[in-house]
Amino acid sequence: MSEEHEELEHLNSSDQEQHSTETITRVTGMYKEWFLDYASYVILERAVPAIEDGFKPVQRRIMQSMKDLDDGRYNKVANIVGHCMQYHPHGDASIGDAMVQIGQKDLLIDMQGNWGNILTGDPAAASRYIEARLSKFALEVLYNPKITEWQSSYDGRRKEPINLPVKFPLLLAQGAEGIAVGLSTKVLPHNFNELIDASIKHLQGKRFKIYPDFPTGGEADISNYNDGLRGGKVRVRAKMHSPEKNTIVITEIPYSTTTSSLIDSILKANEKGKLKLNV
Amino acid sequence: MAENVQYTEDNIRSLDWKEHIRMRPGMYIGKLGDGSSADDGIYILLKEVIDNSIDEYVMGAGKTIEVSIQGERVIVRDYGRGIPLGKVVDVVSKMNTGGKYDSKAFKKSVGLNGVGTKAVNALSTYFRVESTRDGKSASAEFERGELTDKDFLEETSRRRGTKMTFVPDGEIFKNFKFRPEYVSRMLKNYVYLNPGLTIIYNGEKYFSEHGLKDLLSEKITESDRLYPIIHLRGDDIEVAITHSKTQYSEEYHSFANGQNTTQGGTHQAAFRESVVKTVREFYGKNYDASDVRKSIVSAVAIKVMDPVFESQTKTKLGSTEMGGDLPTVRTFINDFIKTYLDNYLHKHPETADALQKKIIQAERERKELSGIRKLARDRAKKASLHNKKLRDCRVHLGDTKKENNLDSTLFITEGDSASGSITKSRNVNTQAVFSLRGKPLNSYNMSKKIVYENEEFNLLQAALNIEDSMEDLRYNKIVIATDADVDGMHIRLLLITFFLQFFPELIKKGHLYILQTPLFRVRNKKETRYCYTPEERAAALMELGKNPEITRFKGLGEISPDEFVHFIGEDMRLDPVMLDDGMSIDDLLKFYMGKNTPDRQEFIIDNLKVEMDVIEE
Repeated sequence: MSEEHEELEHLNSSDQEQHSTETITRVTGMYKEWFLDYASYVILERAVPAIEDGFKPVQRRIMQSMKDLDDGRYNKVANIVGHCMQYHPHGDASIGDAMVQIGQKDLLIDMQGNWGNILTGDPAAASRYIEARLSKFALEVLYNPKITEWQSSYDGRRKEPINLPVKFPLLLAQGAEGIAVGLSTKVLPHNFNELIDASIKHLQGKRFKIYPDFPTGGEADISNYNDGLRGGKVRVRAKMHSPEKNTIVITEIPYSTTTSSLIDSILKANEKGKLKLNV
Repeated sequence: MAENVQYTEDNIRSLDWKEHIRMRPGMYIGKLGDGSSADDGIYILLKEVIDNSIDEYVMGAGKTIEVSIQGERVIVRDYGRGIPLGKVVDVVSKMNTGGKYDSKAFKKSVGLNGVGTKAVNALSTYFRVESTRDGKSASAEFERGELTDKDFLEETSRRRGTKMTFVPDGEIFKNFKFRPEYVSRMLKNYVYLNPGLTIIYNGEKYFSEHGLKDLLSEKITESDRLYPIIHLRGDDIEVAITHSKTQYSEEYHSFANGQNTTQGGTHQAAFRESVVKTVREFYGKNYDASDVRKSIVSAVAIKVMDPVFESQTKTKLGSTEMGGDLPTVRTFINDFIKTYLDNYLHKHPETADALQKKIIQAERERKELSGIRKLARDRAKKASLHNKKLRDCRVHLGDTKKENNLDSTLFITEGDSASGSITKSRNVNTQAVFSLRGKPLNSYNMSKKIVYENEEFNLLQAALNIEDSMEDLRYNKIVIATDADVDGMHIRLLLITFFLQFFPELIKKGHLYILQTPLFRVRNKKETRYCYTPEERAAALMELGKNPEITRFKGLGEISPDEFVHFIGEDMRLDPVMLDDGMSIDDLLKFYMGKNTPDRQEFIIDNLKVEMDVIEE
């Protein structure tokens, strides 16, 4: 065999033999792949709720766990959290916190024990103390195995709902907040009765208009709400009055503040001299 | 209980040459490895073979070298003078045989003194050498150094030259694979050091006209250069210098007789010293050495007679004399830089101007840092006594006298979940562990201050010992070992960002790796398989029959220490972190690690990865 011939043959075979050499992913490839892995996960699986049922994965898994364990009696939250870890392969503390947050919205969970206080900002008792069961409303509105689509859980041992077939605009009722990578979400809560009225109108094919409402009360200015689209704003003020000199009574506070944070802010204003308190 | 070992005449053995090479390959080619690092043995084999062809080129014979690597098989063909036909067998199989002992013929040769090709021969399952000259041709074939076939052609139409073919021995280089990126980088260095030489690698042509200037052009994009590359050439010496606008660290590419001395040595030290000296004298100011050298990107190549290296792998030059009637290496380089760089700066005032501004800026920045440096010094003192995040190993990269210094490895682990297992299963001689707590800071767009302020970064810097220069790096491999979940990916990004931002040279020199750990364990009663990809899992499922147990490893904490041994031992799978050709580090980091931009948002939305395991009913 002449040499030229042999070398030529070598070159021709290069296509088939590519598998035996390995190419290296360069650093831009690594960034692209990992960044997208991370961003996709945080967006889809962590921070942003699904529009279909209004739940983030951890919340949906909590609701499914509560259904799994439901026998009409209270369950220890720690037990529910433990059960939930079959679906949610993350820390128990983060599941517990998420559950307390759902409970504090006072819609889906029937609570027993100290679940904290959204007005004062007091935290809930540890999950080994407090108990929970599904509220009547939740049982009525959230579940229907027959029309639920399922996916297998992370270890393939269980099945979990892709979305819960919620018969109610839950996302609007509870509101949502999440900061993901590149994207973030903020949905303000709405009044339960108003939502039902609006739902009925919608089902009748009528037009409706609905604005946010807050469990902590307050007076809201919605002139810049922009229908909740990007850049929209709602300004909320506390309600207060002064029944006598030297006394201010605060009866309602803005969403996402607590009395403790309010008191802190008053003290700070006093320190800076923006406000004078007579002690 | 010590056994009573007999020591008699029977114990004394004389090893055959090939036996010795196969028994102690480290002495001849450094480390073994599977080809995932640029300094792995298989590349040294390739280098030894090419070196001979390069020597031919240097002697003025054969302007083209052809390299072909298909799978495991390597062919190197040159058009040099060819090995004298009667000696074809001896040259590759008899120890201490070579044409390079006579310093006149190959006075500044690259090859080992007649050892190189023999080592390749002994460590290959197939080795063939063929030499053609004067219309005649001789060839010989070997298996693991054993002659299997010999041929002599009285007449041939082939062009003169030498052709060597080899297949590395899979018994010695376990699971080896040639990575084209490393081969290509190595061949590029050859053409930069030998302007005018053409190397054809698997059909691709490598050629350089301007030598080291071309090398630097590749290493630093034009927009990042503070001033046009200064390129100086003299007898036995060539240098190229510029400063980077964005990079903090100093970057040196040094070569001695064509050997890439990645750990520097006498020539690099002399070069660093002389640049500072010349610049000081030129401006007539006593600038601090670190200010002059900050952000420098440079290359230096010298040729010395009978070079001495500090280790068998020749990555650090030890020669102090140039040889012949020339002065010492230090004086030689000093004189050269003093004359030529000084002249250059006089002739190019705009370059001199830009350089001076940079030095003054560096001085200012250093003084700004000095307050923090004090804090840093205190911390460094503490860290040198006891670095609380580090579990160290015995052998370090700087221990050039020790055989396994190239194996020194630092694992950077995520949280405590993995460090425990690695600590238990590691090789205490060469593997160290540094454990991070939680996610490290995103260091993009931060100033170097953060390396001193952030305790974790500070301790990492102390563990690596790279505050002053890359030459003191304590580990050859720095391996990021995070969980294979999305948060692990995020930590990888944050850590690579840290290194790209403050110590890019670490990556450029190929020290940074990602540890691959298996994603699945598939086992039945008889057999256990670890799978690194879903494809491997599918294959294992096929083979292990029905109902094997599948465990998904989400975190390194799920892997037991006795399993971990396999993942960081001989069969360790490492992905090197390697820059793209001509990429801009700053653009990359700005896009991925910088502020959220509409562009990035769109990129995420367009490329969102959705994974779902829907159950059909």
